[in-house]
Amino acid sequence: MKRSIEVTISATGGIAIEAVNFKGADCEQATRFLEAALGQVKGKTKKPEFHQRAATKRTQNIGS
Amino acid sequence: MGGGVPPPHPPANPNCHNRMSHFTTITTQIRDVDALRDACGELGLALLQNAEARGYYTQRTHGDFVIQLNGPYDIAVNRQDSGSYGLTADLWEGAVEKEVGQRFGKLLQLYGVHKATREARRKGHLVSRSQKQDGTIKLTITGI
Repeated sequence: MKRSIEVTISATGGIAIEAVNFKGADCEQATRFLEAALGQVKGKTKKPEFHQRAATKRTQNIGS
Repeated sequence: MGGGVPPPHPPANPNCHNRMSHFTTITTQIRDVDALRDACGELGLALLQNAEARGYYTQRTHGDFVIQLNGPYDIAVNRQDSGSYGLTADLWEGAVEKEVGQRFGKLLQLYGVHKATREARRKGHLVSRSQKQDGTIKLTITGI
């Protein structure tokens, strides 16, 4: 899945940043430059995927 | 499934990000005069350096920068101790609001758009911009 950052800026000036298709620390790293540049972070919500390890991808074939 | 043609601009669907990993909300702080100048340019307004902002009647207030509005009052932009710039204007009867939005919202929005675009491009990323019906602007940054 293609990685992207989506920045949504409301007509009142509020900004929301979403990291899409990143995992774990990669995602924090990816958006840090924008958070630092745009202003003061009000809140951060980690999605469940944050706790997945980026390198963890195991495939198990059973009965093939 | 039928072979229907998808709409040219599908609505944003928050559920489509099946691996999104975090979401941050930010209060905009103006720190980059070049991005502010871009925002003013998009609104068709001039940003003057070291100038006087027009207020009620003959009142004037100095600004490190001044956003010159088409109406009777201007916006003074002054650097604060925190390092960010504060906006000051006479908000009487909504003349300023009409040009830059309530509580400078439209100006702050465009500042955010131009600042984020500049920072993303500086890192070599690609930026595409779209506008929703409610006036929200969405930037999609790729090439990461």
